[in-house]
Amino acid sequence: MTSRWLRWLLPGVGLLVGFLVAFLVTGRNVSAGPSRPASVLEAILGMALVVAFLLAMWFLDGRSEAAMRLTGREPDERDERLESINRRALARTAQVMALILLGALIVANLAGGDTRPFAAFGAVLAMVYMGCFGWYRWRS
Amino acid sequence: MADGSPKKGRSLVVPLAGLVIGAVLIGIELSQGASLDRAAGGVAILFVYVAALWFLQSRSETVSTLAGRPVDELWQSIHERAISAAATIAAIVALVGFGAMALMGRDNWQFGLMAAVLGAGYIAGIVWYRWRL
Repeated sequence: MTSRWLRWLLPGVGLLVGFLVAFLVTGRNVSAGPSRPASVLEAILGMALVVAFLLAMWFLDGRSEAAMRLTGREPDERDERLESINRRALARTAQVMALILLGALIVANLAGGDTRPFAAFGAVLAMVYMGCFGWYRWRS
Repeated sequence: MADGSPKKGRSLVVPLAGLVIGAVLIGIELSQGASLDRAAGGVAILFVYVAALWFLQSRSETVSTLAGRPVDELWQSIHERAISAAATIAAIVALVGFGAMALMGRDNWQFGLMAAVLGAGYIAGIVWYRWRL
């Protein structure tokens, strides 16, 4: 796979996701009943967030190692320090996610809301962690 | 101690956190009128996991790592790689769940919240460690 092809992959996928977000937001509002005045605005906002992130990464690509990492591209030279940064960032993100899920589960339970999405998401997080833990243990 | 190296003296963190979380969940169930049996049954798996961590962590490197005390750099690396993979899969699940719920016309803000937390957390982590390392 050429680097030129990879350079166009992120904008292409990102724009697709942006249009999908806009479509889904609009569709949700229409299906919920008569179209609300804010539906188009919400769709534009949803797409703008994705496009803004893409543009930022596009302009920083090649100038910032962090931006290359955020776009999923490897720097020209494999850098163990960047690998470490990426892994630690992901690890802390998962830990924060677990805490937020727990908090959301408790709040939703107390409020009498639907706790299933949070419980299911927490279960996925835990099972993937345990599965990968076993996998890497076996491979080490 | 350098960040990322095995940490000693934290072996009680995960078991104690599990106990506290279990107690809170039981309290919530009881406050909503559930019986003690049902409330305790709901967190039984959590308590069994906590007990296993408590009793086995000094005998097993695997359990010690799961309890928050990797015995060496290798186990620290295994833990970090596993939890990084979990975060990546979680992000995919959040995005797919967001789209699937929207297509079905159901409430999808929970998945949106999770995707936002994962995205913002990852970007903040990259910036933080890029600055510190």
